[in-house]
Amino acid sequence: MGVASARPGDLDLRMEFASIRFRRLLKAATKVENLPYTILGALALISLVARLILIF
Amino acid sequence: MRPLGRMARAFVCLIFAYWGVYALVAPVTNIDSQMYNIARLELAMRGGLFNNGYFTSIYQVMYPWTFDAVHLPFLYLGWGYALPSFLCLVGTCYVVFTMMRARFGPDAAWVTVVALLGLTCLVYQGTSTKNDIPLLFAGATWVYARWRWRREGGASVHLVWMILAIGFMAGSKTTGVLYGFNLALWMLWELRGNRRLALQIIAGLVGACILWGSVETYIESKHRFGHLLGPPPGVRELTNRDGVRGGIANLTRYIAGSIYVGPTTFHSGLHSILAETEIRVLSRLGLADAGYGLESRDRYLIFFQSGFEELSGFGPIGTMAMATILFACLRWRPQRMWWQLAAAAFLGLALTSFTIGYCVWSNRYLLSWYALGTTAATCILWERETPFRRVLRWVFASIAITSAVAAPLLSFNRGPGAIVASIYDRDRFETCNDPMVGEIRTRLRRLRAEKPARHIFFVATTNSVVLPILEDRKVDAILVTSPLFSNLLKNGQIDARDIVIEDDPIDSPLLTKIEDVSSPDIFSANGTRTQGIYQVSARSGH
Repeated sequence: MGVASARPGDLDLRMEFASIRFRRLLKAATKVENLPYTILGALALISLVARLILIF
Repeated sequence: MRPLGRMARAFVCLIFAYWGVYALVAPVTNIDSQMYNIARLELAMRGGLFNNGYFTSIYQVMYPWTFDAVHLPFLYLGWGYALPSFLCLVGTCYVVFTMMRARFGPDAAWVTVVALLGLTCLVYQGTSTKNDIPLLFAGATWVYARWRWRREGGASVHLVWMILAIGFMAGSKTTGVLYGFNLALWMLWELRGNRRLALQIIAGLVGACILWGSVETYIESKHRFGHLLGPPPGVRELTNRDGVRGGIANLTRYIAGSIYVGPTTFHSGLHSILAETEIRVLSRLGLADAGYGLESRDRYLIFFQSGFEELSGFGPIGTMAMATILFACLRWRPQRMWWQLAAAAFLGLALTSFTIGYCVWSNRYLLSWYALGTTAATCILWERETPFRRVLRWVFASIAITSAVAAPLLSFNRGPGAIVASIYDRDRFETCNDPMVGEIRTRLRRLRAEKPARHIFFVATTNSVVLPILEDRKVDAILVTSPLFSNLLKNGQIDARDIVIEDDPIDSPLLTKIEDVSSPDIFSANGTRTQGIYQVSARSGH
């Protein structure tokens, strides 16, 4: 079922899941032992967005 | 933790704080970045990547730009240009610290980190905008992810980070493709027992290389130059064209260049003696002038231990790192950690020697091998607990701390004065590597203030240092290439009293044509090259 056709309850649930996933990601990213991953991930993400902006 | 570890930790904190402040405030100072690494972002913002007529250097097209593109937000901010490189330095040190602490304890870990900070070339690159340190950082992250993958019972999330590290490495620099390919082969070899997982890894690697491998610059290079890596003569110039002879010659140059005999800035005679000895050795071996890239030759050979971020060597810790690497060639100890690290460093050094042509700025190509060599040196010191080794640890740590503290102080643009200049005299400091560009910008600003309504055309030629002029919104220069400016002149689109600045006018056939209609302001800021700013005195084409 697409988001557009979802009932309000479903959408809330999805938002909740997305929020949980984001919080988990944030928690993992702030763990000291994941510092190299956080740095690499941040650089890779910025690079991807910047290149898309620059190419077109 | 013992006093040695506590002392090393205190200096690591202090030195990181210093370099962090520097990375935050320093502008783009190196000429390469002002010419292509960062300059191409400014140009791509005006005309995109494909078929962009603004590009002024082949290097803006042929070199991968995954790491360079990271600096885009900082171009908007105007501050923190060196933060991406600094984060790479922090990440690398963290990986080394964690793995050393797990094996040898906190004392060894802190001393290794302070030793890394004592590698002058490494910290200069870690506070620069050049794209050499991301290779080291991506390699370190790959090693760290592999280490955690093995320790944590094969958790697949670490494999994802290994894949991303390879993709990022491949897109940061052309040589990253070579090193990344080797890491990918290693990874697949380790997973050879699990064919399904290996296929998933291959698919992941392909995806990572598409997303982060800077595929677009290869496509544009192929389109412009007919070759994926750039114009074939240009690519040949950068590589070792003398095969095994060149590789051996380069290896000996790198080994000789690792010997620290004091900073070059003090013009000690020992530097000349070292270079002349190396030239004589090469000549006797029949390897004179072999392995060079670009226009370099043995007669110009000098081993820089200067404060220049593009040229500097690795200092006394670098000498020890190289000694450890060579020691591993003499003693077969494949079970020992130090030997494995030193052997990996030697293989990397050999790979670099045999593939890349030697240049005066080749030191920064060796960052990863020196980092491995330095870590290997500390492994030797902590492998066994003996009174002699305990004394050696103190000696090593003292040299490392002295080097780490001296690194900013011996540099002409990294000391505390540079931080002050970055804030209070930013314009002059930004062009400290090429004062002539600073002079041009000052004059253009004056002209702009006098004539706010006029166009300022900046006619850039090949390899012009364009960034300091284009990023200056006050000057608001219109960048044009020589052919484009010819057309503008021919079509009468240059108005009377427009201002034209032509870079490197001596070689340009346009000079005479512009001189006919202008009152030139010819000047020289460095005593050798002259620059001309021309004010058009009549509408062109008439």
